Amino acid sequence: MNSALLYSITGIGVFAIGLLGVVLASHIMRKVLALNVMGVGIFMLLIALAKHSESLVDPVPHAMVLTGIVIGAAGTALALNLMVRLHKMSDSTQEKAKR
Amino acid sequence: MFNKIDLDYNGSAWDSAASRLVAGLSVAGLLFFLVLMVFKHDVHNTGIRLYVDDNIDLSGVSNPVTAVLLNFRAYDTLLELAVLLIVVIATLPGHNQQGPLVKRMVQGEHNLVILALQRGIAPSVLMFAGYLLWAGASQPGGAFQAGALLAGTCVLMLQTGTYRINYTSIMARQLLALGLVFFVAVGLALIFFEGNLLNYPADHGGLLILLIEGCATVSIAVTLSSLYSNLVDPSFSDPTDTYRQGS
Repeated sequence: MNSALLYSITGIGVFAIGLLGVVLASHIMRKVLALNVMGVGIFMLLIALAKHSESLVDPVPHAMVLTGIVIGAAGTALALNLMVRLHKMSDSTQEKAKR
Repeated sequence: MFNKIDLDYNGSAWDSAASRLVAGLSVAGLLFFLVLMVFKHDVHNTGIRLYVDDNIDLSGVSNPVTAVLLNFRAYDTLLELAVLLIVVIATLPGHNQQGPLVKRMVQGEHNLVILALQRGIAPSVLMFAGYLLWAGASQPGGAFQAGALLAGTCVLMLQTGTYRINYTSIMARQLLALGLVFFVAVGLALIFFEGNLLNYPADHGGLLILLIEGCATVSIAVTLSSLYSNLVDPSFSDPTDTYRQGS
C-alpha cells in the first residue's frame, strides 16, 4: 500500500459520497454541492494515478485536472445562476417529490 | 418499506427508505468495482509521459503541464475558453447597461476594513499574477492560476462597495472575449503560415504561448469575477427585468 494508492481509493470514496448526495438530496443547492464533491473525487483520483514513482509524473492528467477545475467552477456558477432564477420564478427549489 | 404491488395505487411513488437502500447498494457496488480497478491499475504503464518528454524541446516551454495545455493538447484549452465564454454569456444580465467598465460609487456602504486591506493586497496580487503567468513556462503556474488570483482580488474589490463593474459594457465584452478571439486568431494564422491549426513554429512557440496565456489570463479573471458578481447581486440578473425589456 503506497500513498498514491491510498489517495486513489480516497478519491473514489469522495466520488461515491458525492454520487450518493446527487441521487438522494432533494434541494438543488445540495445537488450542486454534491456534484462538486464528485468532481473533487475525480480530480483526486486522476492526480493520484498520474504518479508512477518518486520522479515520474504523467503531465497529461495534471493538464486535464487544471482544465477540469476551471470548467467545474464555471458549471457550478451556471447551475447556481439557474437555481436563483428558478427560485425567483417558482416558490421553492425543493423537488416536488412528496406530493 | 416496499409497498405491495397494487395496480390501482394512485398515491406517492416516493419511498424514502427504499430509494436510500437502492442508491446505497448501487453506489457501494460501483465503489467496489472502482477500487478493484485501481488495484489492477498497472503502475509501470508510464502513459504518454515519454512522448511528452521526447517532444518537450519542440514545445517552446520547459514545464510539461504547460506544454500539454498550450501546445500538445491546445484544442482542449481552446474549447475550455469557449465553454467559459458560453457560461458567462448565459449568466450575463438580460439587458445592457450603458456606462464605463468600472464605476466608483461615492454613495452607499463602504467597507473600510476591506478597503484598507485591499490597498495593500491588490498591487502585490497583480505582481504575483504576472509572476505566475511568466513562471508557467518552466514551473507550476500559468494562465489559470494567474486568472484565478486576479479574479479573487476583483471579488475582494467588489466587496468594498466602492466599485461597481458593469459587465455588459462594450469594454467588458471585449475583455471577456479577448482570450478566445486571440487563441482562434493565432490558430487561423498558423493554418496560413504552417499549414496546421495550432501547430506552432519551433522558434516562436514560447512567445506565442506566452501571448495566448496573457490574453487568456485577462479573460479568465473577468469571467470568474463576473460569474461571482452576477450571482451575488440579484439586481444585475433579474429575469423579470429581461421580460420588461423584451416586451
